[in-house]
Amino acid sequence: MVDIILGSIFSVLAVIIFFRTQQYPKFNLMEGLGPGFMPRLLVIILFVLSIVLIITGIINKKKEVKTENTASKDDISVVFAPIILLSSIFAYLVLLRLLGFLITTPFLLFITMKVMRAKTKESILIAIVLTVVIYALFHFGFQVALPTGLLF
Amino acid sequence: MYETGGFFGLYLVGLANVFQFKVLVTLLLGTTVGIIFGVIPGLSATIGVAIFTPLTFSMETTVAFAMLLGIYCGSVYGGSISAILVNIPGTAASVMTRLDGYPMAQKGEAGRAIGLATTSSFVGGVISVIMLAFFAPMIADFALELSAQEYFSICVFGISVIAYISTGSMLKGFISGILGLLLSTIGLDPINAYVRFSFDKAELIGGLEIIPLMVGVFGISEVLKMVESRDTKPSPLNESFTRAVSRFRELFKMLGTLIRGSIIGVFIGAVPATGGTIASIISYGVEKRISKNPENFGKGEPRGIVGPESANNAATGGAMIPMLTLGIPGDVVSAILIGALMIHGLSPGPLLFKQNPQIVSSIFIIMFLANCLFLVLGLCGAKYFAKVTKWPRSILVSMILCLAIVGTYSVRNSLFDVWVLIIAGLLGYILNKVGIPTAPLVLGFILGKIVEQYLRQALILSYGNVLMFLMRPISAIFLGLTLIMIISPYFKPLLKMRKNLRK
Repeated sequence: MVDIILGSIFSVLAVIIFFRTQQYPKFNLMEGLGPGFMPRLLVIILFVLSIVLIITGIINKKKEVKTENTASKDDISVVFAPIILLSSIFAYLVLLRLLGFLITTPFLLFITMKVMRAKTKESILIAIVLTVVIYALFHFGFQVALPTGLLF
Repeated sequence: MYETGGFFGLYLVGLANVFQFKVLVTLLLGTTVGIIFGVIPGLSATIGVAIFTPLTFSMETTVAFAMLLGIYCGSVYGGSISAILVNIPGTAASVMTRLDGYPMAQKGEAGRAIGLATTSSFVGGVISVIMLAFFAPMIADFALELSAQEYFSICVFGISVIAYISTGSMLKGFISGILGLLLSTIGLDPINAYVRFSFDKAELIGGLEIIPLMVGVFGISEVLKMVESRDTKPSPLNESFTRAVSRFRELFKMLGTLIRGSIIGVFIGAVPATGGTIASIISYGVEKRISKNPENFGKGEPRGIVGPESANNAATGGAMIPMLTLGIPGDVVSAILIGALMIHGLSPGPLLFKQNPQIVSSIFIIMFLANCLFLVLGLCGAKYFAKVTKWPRSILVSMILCLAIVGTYSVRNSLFDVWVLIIAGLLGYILNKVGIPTAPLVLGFILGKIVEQYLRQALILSYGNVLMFLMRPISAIFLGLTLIMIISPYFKPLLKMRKNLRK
């Protein structure tokens, strides 16, 4: 089933990309082909492969025994933690420019530690220590300027 | 050949560069960091070199490569430590080492296992450096005769190999590779400088940066996976392990395995796109097939450690061969090292050997020393490196996340790149869930950038003559190999069909 969805997504993607390249300037063989050649060639191959994927998905679906249903419930809850972390990272990136590295990073690291079920004291400690160590290493050691916001 | 010092000139010219305090200290540091990165699951050679490359901008070239090559060689070795002690490969290259390393450790022979892994990694690495130093100058000389057609065909061959290197269905491997190739088309096209798929973002005009993409697809997706289990407890460490025991004597009883592993490693490393992981898998397969006691594999068979570990370290030198001589990366790390060369104003290829023999020579010497260093560090200090596996996973995850973000940011001080990092991580995570391998995507991305350039250059140079690809012998050979690679999975079914028809 997954294969069928994947194949469909990829084939649609292939078609979209193909049409986006319609407006690209065209060159012939002697001029070295144009900017559209490579994407189009790749996208054609992708389209063929995604059709094959859909077909194998259909063939396999017939062979599939219906014990898959119970497994999916466990699968979904497993994704919660990564989703929480990912959302925190997105928020972090938005705030990074506003508040700067030194302020935002400890929060992100704290959330990361807590998501992994670390104790609160440990989480705060690691969040601060890691931020400081990495800041020192990169700022003074490698001379990389990390984002500074309103305060730091 | 080279004006300075005759035949050995190339090898000696780098000595003055390398034997400076700054360089040697950095090499020691790099190798140590490398081993640590290797031991930590989720961090790997590729991520380590990727994160540190932009940081070497402010360093001298020799110092920079001392750091990066130290990390490279150290981390390929380091993965074996966690593979043996905790049954989790620290890096993908050690995926086979755990099959026999862990059972051996379980039997109380952890010291022996680590000793074998350390010594075979050393021998494999050294043999590959020797072969690199021997063959690279020859190939570089010869490369002057090569034109865009040959470069194109070699890259196409590399792409055809991509689908084989992944676990799981070849179809999905190909799709992953195509996706990577497509991602490489974002940005200015190499011949006409026409901007493709930039979605009106200035940052995309130059295309996606390899480091955010790579660290995201490999590193961040691994972080997301580790977070799934929400389990901060480290895997139980084998407490009986006190020190690695030098096993050279035992090693040389398995000379055949050692030599086979090393040669396999050098060759597989030299093939564009394949690296240590494939080399170790192939070596394990070969050893098991050749062995008089195949049933011992998986239960603590020493050859199951010696083969893969010599192969994966041998791939480091092997991958440098096409990278230095042709500018075609032998594996993902060497692709990043091409970037490192460019940061310092150098381009890989035959001109590098002519105009900058001292940096080539320094690279040979540095790699040799790096291998010696991890031998010493491993035999003396494996116990300390092993302690890293005891760190709670919450700390590891936080470290990896923080390093990935900051390291990516430091490539070009771009927050956009960090967004690419995270989205690539999400992409990698999803791909893992649906069974699409991620390595082909990254390799497709790397090779895509150069394959298109060479194809179109070749056509322009030959006035549109497509036949030139077949008329030039080297090009024809590689295209032939590509054809074989594509057809070979169908050989068996075809042969079966013929047998059935005859009946």
